[in-house]
Amino acid sequence: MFTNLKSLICNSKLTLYLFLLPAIMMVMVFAIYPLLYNFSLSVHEVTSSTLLSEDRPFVGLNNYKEVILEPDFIEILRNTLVFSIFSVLFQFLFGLAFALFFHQEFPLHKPLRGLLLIGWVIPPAVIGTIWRWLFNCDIGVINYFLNMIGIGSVGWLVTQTFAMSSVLVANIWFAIPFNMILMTSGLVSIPNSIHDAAAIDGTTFFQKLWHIIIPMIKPNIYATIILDIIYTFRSFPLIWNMTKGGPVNATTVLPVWSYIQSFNFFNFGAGTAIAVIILLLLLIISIIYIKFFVGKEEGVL
Amino acid sequence: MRHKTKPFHYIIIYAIVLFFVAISVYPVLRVITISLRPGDNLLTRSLRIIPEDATFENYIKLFTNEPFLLWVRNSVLVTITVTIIGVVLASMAGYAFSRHKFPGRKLGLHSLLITQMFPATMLLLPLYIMISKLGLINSFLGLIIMYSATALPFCIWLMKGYYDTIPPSLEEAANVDGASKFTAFYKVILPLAAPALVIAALFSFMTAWNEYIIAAQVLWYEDMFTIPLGLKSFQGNMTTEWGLYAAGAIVISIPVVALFLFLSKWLVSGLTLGSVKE
Repeated sequence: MFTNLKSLICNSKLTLYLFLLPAIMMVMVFAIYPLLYNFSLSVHEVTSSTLLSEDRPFVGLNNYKEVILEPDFIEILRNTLVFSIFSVLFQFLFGLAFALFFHQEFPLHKPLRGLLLIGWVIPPAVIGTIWRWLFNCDIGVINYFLNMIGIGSVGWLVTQTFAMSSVLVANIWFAIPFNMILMTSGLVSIPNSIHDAAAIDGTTFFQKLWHIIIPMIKPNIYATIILDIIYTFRSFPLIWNMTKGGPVNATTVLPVWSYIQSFNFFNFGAGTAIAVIILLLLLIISIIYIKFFVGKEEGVL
Repeated sequence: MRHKTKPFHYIIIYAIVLFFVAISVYPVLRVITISLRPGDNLLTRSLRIIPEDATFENYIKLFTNEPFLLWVRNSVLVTITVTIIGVVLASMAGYAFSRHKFPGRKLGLHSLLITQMFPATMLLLPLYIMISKLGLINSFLGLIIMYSATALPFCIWLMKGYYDTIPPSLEEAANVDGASKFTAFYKVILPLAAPALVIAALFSFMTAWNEYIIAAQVLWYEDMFTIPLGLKSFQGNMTTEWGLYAAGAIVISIPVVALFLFLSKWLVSGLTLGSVKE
């Protein structure tokens, strides 16, 4: 009897559903349902007093209208795009360059590569604090070096002109190791015979890079860039820790704005509406990206 | 590119390498420096890595006066549970997604991807409402559930991608030999997927170990803080004990460094094989 039951469980379609059930339940209840719940909050009037009750008046798209008509909206959207585009561009290029560089054999290349990855092991919250120290106007090391070569101190994080570039530098520094690891994993998958063949044909490094290496690691590149876009577009802890979005709105990106609306102003309707806008923008960007670059290449992610 | 480099190029190579290594390592060295300074002596511009009056005062204070040991215990408890849940559930679900064509499979995979586009901090409000209705505020269970749900989608995708590279003929052979579906999975496929399991574990670990924004909403009492949340509480409104903060930041990073060193062998192979498709 028991052996029958056991074989029934182990061999039928039931195994499949038993495998899926726990994970799917977990994701449905605690990831997808909150996502839908967030959407529902964004079309209701939500205040501190109605937050925990179900008695919230339906207001349609009013929260969205309020957010989009907000005078700051365009500036914050622009900040988000500037932050994302420059971050992704530089973190990818540096990541690829380092991966290529450390793929060569020279003494100590492995320990040195390990040191380059060190930023990855520090919690993002701490990284924000570290860079706040480095960029500090009075005691920061960056100004110390500038003073040494005769340039006056710059208020990196407290002036609207420089705050965004400072936050960008910190974020790029933080994200390079991730890109480097993903690119390295692409490079090691290229068989040595291909390098040998290229060496015999006498190709230059850049010919080899453009005609052999890049095409061979294309799937890795596509996957890395889309992950970069998603992670950067929605990134929050680093900026929050460095500037809280300031000075004024100079480094406020959409996720920071959403957090401020919900948890500083208790304007939950606006906060949740911004979150939905982030999701929609990311979806549009991803779909365009996949259609445009990846086309029919299946299974990139 | 596995060719021998000419000795002539060494100087240029090392100059470039050392420059970038310095940029990546320096900020971390700075934290070590500050953690070794006595008192709250952050306000010096000295560039010395080891300060003249270096002391372990901050570390000693951290482990004796502060409820730091409690935070370590809390963090370890939460992180280990999340890692186990992440690896076990993702290894099973990823397998089902990889090997079976069932109705709703595509929708499922796409939904998992979409959850990744929604920042964890944005789920804060709905999750907070749900958790408080379930009475899980100020409980580790609430936090564990939230972290697991955040880490799972990526882990499932990762495992699914890796299983895709393992030929199904392996299980079929095992089945012909009389092994049940479960045995074939457990004895044949799972050991082969070890590199991907390592990455899934690392990802779940990092999610739970580093996070503090969600934790700040769920855990209210200092005794229940995790390490990152505790560190955050050093940054008070009036004074910040930077020495303690820096010492805590170093302590929290040590297990991650150790894990990376220990797992580095599997790290590259896990990411490689998962992304190579025939």
